[in-house]
Amino acid sequence: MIYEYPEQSAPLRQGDIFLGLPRIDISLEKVLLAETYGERIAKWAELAGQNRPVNIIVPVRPVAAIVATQDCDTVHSRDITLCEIREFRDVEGKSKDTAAPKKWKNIITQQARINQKWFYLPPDERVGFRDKMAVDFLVTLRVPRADLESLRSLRTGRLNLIADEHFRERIAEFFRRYPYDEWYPLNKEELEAYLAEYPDAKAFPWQSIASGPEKAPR
Amino acid sequence: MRGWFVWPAGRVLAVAASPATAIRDYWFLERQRRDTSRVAGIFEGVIGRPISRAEALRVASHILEQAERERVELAEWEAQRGVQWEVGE
Repeated sequence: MIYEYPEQSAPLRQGDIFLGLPRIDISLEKVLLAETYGERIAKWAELAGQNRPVNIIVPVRPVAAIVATQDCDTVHSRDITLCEIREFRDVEGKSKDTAAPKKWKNIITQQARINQKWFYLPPDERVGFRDKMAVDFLVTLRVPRADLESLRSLRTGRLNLIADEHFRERIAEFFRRYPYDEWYPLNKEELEAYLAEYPDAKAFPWQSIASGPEKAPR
Repeated sequence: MRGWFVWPAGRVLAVAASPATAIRDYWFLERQRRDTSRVAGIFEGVIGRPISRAEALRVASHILEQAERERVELAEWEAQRGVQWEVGE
């Protein structure tokens, strides 16, 4: 498929896939302090102003992940950033009940142009993916580079040239996005149709449905 | 420049050791089926107070489960709101 299988001695690269890296989840509302005389639960707001290191207990779970750090930084950087890989059905809700190849084709190609929050990874037994998977750009892991280099036994594959170029651009696009209200240029009729589908949207002043003809912006 | 920083030297405990693979995550799915509203209120009264190691581990486990559940819920919510184009047969 779209993967290569590097030798264990090969250096780290963007697009390298690991199985079993630690993903930490933390709650700022329930910080589990590990203090000298026992454990205590606190809110981070209480700790943030104390200007001292603290020891905390956090849950950690081994997950599949892909190196997001670009190649030049994977050589010298102290830390490496990865994105979690999860089952495609859990990352793209639209695919939850998808079975037909034609539907899959549309989701993988068309939906990928629209939803920039994930990157599709096809199944590959050798990599360890028995189902369709996705990189979730919203969930990142950070691990020490030297430690990751010594754990290259957990690297099961890497993206090939075509896929890696696509992956690199998709990461860039994900962080380059900016939030905007997509309905802002719609006219009255278009907005009415939009609101029928997305009732949460709030009309802009120049889109006032009740006030009749639109006024020209100043 | 204000010279403070906090360095949470995390003492990481593996509270859930199911391996990360592409295999369907039964560990998580099983917990999705639980009554989450019951779990949510358990720790409300312990903020700021000492707790036992066992309680700390339970809270940690709950934090992990909640984080994973919320990620799946977000994906489902976005699937309802995103572009609803025809992906016909």
